[in-house]
Amino acid sequence: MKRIIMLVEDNPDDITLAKRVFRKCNLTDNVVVTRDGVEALEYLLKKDEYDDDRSTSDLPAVIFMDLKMPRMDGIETLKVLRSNRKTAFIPVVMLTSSDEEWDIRQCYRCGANSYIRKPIDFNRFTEVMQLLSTYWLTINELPGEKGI
Amino acid sequence: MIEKLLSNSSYSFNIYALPMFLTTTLIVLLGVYVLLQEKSFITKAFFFSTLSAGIWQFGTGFIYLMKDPALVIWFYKVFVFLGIVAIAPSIYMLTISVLGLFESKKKYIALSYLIALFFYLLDLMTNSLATGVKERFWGPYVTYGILSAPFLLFFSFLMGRSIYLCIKAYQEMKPGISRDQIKLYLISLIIALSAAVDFLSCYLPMDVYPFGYLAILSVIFLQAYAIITYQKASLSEIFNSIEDGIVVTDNEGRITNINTSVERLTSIGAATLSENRLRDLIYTYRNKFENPKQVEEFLQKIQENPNRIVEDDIGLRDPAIQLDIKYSRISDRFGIKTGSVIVLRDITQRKKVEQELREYKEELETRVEQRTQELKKSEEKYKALVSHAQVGIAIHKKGRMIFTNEQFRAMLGYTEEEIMDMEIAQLIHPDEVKLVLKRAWDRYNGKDVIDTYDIQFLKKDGSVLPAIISNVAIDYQGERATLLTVVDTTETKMRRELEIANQELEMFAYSVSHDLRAPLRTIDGFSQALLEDYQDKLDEEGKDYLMRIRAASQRMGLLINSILQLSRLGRSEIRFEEVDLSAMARDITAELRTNDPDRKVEFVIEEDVKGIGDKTLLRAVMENLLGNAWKFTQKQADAKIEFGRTEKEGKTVYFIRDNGVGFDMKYANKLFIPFQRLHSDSEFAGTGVGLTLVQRIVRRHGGDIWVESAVEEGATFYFTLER
Repeated sequence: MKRIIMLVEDNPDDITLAKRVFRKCNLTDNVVVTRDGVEALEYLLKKDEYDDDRSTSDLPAVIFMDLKMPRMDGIETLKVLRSNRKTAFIPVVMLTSSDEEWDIRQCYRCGANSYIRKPIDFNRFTEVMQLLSTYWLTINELPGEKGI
Repeated sequence: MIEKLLSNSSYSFNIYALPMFLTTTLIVLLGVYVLLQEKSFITKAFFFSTLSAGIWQFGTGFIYLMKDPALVIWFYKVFVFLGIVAIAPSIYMLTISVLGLFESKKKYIALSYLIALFFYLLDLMTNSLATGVKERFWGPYVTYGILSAPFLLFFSFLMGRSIYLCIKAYQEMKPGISRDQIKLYLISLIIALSAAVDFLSCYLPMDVYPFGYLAILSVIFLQAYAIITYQKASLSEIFNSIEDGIVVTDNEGRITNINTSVERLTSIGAATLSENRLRDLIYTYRNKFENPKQVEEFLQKIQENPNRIVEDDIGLRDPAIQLDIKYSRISDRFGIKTGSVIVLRDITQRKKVEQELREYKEELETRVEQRTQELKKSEEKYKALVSHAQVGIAIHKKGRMIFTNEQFRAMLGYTEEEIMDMEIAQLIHPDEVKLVLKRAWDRYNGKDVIDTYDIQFLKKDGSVLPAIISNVAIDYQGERATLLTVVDTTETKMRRELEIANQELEMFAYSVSHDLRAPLRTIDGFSQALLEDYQDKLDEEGKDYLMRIRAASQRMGLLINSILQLSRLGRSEIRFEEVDLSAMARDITAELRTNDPDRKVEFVIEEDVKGIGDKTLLRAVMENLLGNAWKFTQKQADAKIEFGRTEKEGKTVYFIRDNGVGFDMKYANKLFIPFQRLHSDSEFAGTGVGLTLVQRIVRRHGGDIWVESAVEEGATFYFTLER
């Protein structure tokens, strides 16, 4: 069973750079990219409609989500995810440029599992992404994976 | 008999008749005189007694001239005896009158007169009273018969009764003029008894000359004197009993009468007074007056207005009394001026009361004056308060300004003359006039309307003044009016605008934190990607360029971080607590050593240095200052960094001293300006924001920061945490 990372990011540069990191880590097939919160929710909840049975296993193992996005921003999307039964337990890592105290508090309050500031130094960025992917895809355990 | 009586031949000359006639004349004249003095019971009774005595005496004398005994008898019976019987009741009546018993003894008097009349009738009808005539050497003498005995008894009884009443009254009376008069009268009565000598010849076997007329004469004299002086005495008693002092003078100012009150009031003996002329007296005793000049003026006034009543108040020194003195002229019944009367009235008590009243009134006036002053003061205070108030205060009545204070006028740029009577509508921005007037009208009509609201006033120069207005319906000089209190909110508005600007700045900082970093990451990221993916296609120069791009973008990232740190400082709240700065310094230096274990730096940290402040912010201060010291001593072989505490003007001053490169003090003012650096980045890395941040934190704590340094001699940063 393949674990999936969902990246919610509107900046194409960041997407490209992130994909480059995933590629380096051989994780390209495990990554789904959505451009904003609306798109992300569409993807997650559509799956819900068609394949109710497979929903849990097909849901991403982790969501890396930017804070500032058009249409629906990270906090709003997070709130919707946490209020939905199916998506309530998906680990969400806030991946953003901001290190504002207010943003950090808000994210945790809304149920974020982690808050990471994207380092400007690309080498540091790569390190962080590798660490995150490894942790959430291999180390972390999720509910409903063991089967009956 | 009447013919005989009228015939000249019946009479002959007899010298003994002369004293009788003289006596008669004298006593009748005395009676008339007394009666003329005053018509009272006493004088009338006296007149009666003189008349009776006169008849008796005249008749007796007349008989002496008669030659015919028959005529003598007849005349005696008809005329002389009339006098004789009348005299006793008359004396009795006089006595009663003198003693003031007339009213109660009227019946007895009438009875005595009836008895007298009875005797007279007996005498006329019988021959048992005047029985005959004897020739004596002084002339014919009538002899008495059996009836003369009861008559004498009657006569003696009345006389005795009179004497008895007099003695009784005399004993009961207190010593005084009246008592003396009674005494005199009593003596006269006793003398009167001796008049009975006239009857002695009748009973004795010898001739006794009837000198009773002498007794009668003396009695009448005494009585007349007693009556006249008695009358005078009673008058003078009244006169003396008057509380007011009375001085009567004649036209020449000689004192003719004076009562005892004068002596009591002036303590000048009555004898002294009565002997002198008034004017001389006043000059003699001038030092007795409180103000002699006033007395002179009084006399002057009298002289100038001799016929008017002149009145004045004068004060006497000894005894200390106040006198009301009143001078008026008196005249007799024909209107001829006979003199003047001066009345002295003791008004000491009245003056005292007047003085008390005056003092009371004065005190009252003083109090009223004081109260008025106080009121005035409080009004002035109130006025000052209103006119110097920093809020605008105004009153309008039916939309017209009737009062404004200085501040109100200053706010709107009008003078008092201009704004007086102006319509309030002219002072309000046209957009708001309608609403404000409606509110004012509703308030005037007692409706419940909003009292305090924002308003835009229109200044004289046409500009707008934002303000908060508060309206109160008041009673102003008896009419309904509205009191306005106006506070200029221009500053409040500015503050609000500043707040908005601050918020916008925060928003800006927020977006900087998001949006400015993303491109940097892109630049850095793709530079790295280029370096990695196109390694073989890039020469060393190309790689170097890419490295530079990466370094610049990372540096930019640091700058952005510093800016954000600065902006956050303005927004964060300070939580004061006691902070152990020594421990903090040790912690930071340990960190510095860990990060750069190769360096050898001596740290000297004073123990137990504490300060009050925000722990996080103070940590930033210490980190920056120690970090700077660490940084600028990196070229020093024996680097030494000190942290400690000292005192300046009684205040705790913290310092961090290093022996690093230092700087020229002429650049010291640039030290705390953001992004201003004294060293190149290649020499010492840094953003140029650290000290700015430190200064802001220290200032937000109410403290100050300054530096002492010289090139190559290290630097010492001092800071305080409170003013």
